[in-house]
Amino acid sequence: MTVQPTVAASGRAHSGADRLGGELVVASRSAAAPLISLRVWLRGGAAVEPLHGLASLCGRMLGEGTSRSDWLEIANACETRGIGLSTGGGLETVGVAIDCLAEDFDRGVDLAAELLLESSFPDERLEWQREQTVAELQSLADQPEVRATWSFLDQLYHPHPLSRPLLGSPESLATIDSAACRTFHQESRQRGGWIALVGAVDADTARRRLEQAFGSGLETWQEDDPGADGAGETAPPPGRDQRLCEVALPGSQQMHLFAGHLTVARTHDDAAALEVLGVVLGAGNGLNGRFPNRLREREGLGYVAHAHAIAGAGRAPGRFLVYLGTAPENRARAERAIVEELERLLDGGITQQEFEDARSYLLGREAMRRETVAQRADLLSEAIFFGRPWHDLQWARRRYESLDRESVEAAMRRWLAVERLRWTVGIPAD
Amino acid sequence: MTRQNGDPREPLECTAGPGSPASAPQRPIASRAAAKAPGGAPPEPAGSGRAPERGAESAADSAAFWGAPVRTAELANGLRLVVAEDAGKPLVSTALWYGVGARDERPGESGLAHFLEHMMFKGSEKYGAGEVDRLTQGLGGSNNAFTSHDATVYTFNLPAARWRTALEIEADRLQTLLLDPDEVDSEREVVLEEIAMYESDPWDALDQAVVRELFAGHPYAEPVLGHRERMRLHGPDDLRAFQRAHYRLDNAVLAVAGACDLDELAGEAERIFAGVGRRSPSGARAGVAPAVGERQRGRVERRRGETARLLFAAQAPGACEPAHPVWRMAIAVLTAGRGSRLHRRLVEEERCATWINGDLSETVGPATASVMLEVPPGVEPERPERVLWEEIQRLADRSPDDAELRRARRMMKADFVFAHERAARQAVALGAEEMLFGRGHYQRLFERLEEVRPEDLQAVGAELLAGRSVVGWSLPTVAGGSQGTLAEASSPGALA
Repeated sequence: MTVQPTVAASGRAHSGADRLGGELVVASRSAAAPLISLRVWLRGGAAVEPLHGLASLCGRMLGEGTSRSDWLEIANACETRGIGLSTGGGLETVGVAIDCLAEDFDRGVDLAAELLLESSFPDERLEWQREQTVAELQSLADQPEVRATWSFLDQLYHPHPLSRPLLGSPESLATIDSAACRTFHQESRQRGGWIALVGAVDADTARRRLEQAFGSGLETWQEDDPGADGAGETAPPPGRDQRLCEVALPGSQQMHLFAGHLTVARTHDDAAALEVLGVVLGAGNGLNGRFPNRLREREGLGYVAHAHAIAGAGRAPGRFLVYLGTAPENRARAERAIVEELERLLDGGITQQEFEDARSYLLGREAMRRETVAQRADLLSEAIFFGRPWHDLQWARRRYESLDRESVEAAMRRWLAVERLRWTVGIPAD
Repeated sequence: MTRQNGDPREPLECTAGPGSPASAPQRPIASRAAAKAPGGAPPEPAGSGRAPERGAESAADSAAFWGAPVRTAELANGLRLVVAEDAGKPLVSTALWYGVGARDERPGESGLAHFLEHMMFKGSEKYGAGEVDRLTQGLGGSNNAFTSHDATVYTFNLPAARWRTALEIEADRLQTLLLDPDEVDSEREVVLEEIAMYESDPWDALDQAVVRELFAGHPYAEPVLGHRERMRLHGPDDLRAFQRAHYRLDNAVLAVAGACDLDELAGEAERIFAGVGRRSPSGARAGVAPAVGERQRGRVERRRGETARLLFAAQAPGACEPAHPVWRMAIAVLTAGRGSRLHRRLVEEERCATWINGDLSETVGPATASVMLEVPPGVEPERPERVLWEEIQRLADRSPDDAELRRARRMMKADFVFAHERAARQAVALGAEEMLFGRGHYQRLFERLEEVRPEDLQAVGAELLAGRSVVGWSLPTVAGGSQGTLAEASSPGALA
């Protein structure tokens, strides 16, 4: 493997032929605090898992044992130094995240390499992890808003992996064994991966250290691998047929109401415009935005009320959604208010002031999203995966600065529609 | 209890990554967060009212601790200022602390402190209802507020050049809050929904029940959100009287972190708050009531959902008491990380819990030391409770070794450093020091942690066994079955 470092400040788009072969090391010195955040990701999430929950379980198992260390030795290696370690699998990736003091940089790198290159997936640990995951699913289901959210995502994304909990289900988890994990992990390594590093270390030192630790353990990305194009958008899933889904929520005093539909992927040309629109709707600061203003501030219908235009967007489409937690007797009022506000929006458009405020919010937020080394490492990870320089402040700002009110309204009318609304209503039940 | 709108289940921003790398791990496997470093969450304060000398500046070595020089001052109107100056940051975070919280509510005032916090966003002379949020957003910033038993705090995060707006908003709503009756009626419904939300969450509902029992008779037993029936009675006059009684500049601290220096801040604060005179307080703020004296073990049981949840809570020394760092160390030894005593025993060896966590609240009055755990399906709840008591007994019987202490110290230190990278966290923590715990509190705390000896922790174990505590259970609902109670696992005496 050849490690080819670049520097965070380059602002270069990593796309097409510009993508660096092999691992990408992105190092940026942060003088403000003696901290390091390291992210090492393999392509191998739920999007490519053959068994529901396999990617998540595989990711969790990375911390459960290697050919050299058992789970307790791994924990000791972290906790005696105050190293923060997370392992896991999401929709598109499995990997390791490490946050440590700069003086522990070497240990952090060695640990990440050991977990990813020497993971052993011991049977006994897998069995316990599986039991813990089943218990976690049960615990999550006790939370009314989680149960309602699961139903809403299923309604919109079925049969895409986003339509179900990435953790898996008790039934699917029961079919996963160590051999399945080993095979999946090996396949993930073959798909390739990348490293994002931010903190108090210079790029040359980082490169040398990472080369030493990872050696040739990770395969290069194959340009001709159709699954390797991280920026590629996936086709919108059809979702469920029904317009309304009602779900019983035992123990809840509140009704949880979702309305929405799919919009566009994160790399879509309209994504930035829909982000601005989302702030106008209610994804911005405080109780600002059309929907929380109407539902909470004017009508006092609930404590939590928000709206988005592109929530959760990745390679798969994000979603327009309005959410309200409210008393069951408010249901009709809330549903009417949501439809009225959406109609008003589509009929009358947004004001110039709304547009400018929303854009200002997003421009200001960009600086705040880069305050910590962990935030910057996560942005770098996303930049590499999506082939867009999300980590570059100036690039990120230009995405919004290039917009005007008309372009946001045009995107809104392309992607938002009352007739496309699907509703999920979580109803208290005892 | 914050005013913040938002649902963590749905992202507030469109940054879902590749699956998403940043959010993929559901549970850290060796998390610093589990170490529960001090200052990591909005503290539950209590007013000590230590006034710094006017114009005083704090020691220079605070810069090494906070990563930025910290300076303080007091204005003629009584407002205390504390600033972590970092010109390299592109933003400024402010936290305006008022020395009033739910514990200051008199009989009949249940929920007023928190209700008033909500109403501070519902209109003043210059900024109509919702205008604070709109203006903040237009400036590219964010705001929020929270109320605890001992303080109420208003926060802004703004691009560096815009921080004066935060002061202008604070000055205006301090002096000219409208409290329009229609807005009061509407916001009351919002707060009632907030109460319903917390009561619907299994952990929040259990926590409320346990705290009520642990602090019975103490102001900390009362819910910050208030009681529903009292909330329905509060009107504009009650809110105004409460604000007039407690929202005074000589009962406030303005904490700032980021690209702002003290001299500039002091000059602008003098100008912007010029119309706010020093008012005579209606009476000195009552001191914090001492811990509930009765040393006994209480028990709470509820039925909710499908998962069995245990919350053990014990009274502990407040943040300013000499023994507090020892307790912090003890809780870390018991619960911080996978190598902690309770994690190893409960989760890995006995496998009678799938997850544990521990905490020690930061209060000037009595604190709460707590352990939480969830029980896997098929395991009798008595088992983890028995193991919990056995491990507490072991702590009382035998000193931890030096390695356990070193590990806990290291985790707390790293957690603190990472948690306070953000200016917003620095501002809140510095405000807590100035308003509640005393200047240099966190630095002293870490110095004290270095001095804690293994044998000190035995005393904590003994106090956990013999002091006032509550075991709270949220047990699975039995469909159509009995609602019988869980047999108490064992008594400390039986373990001896």
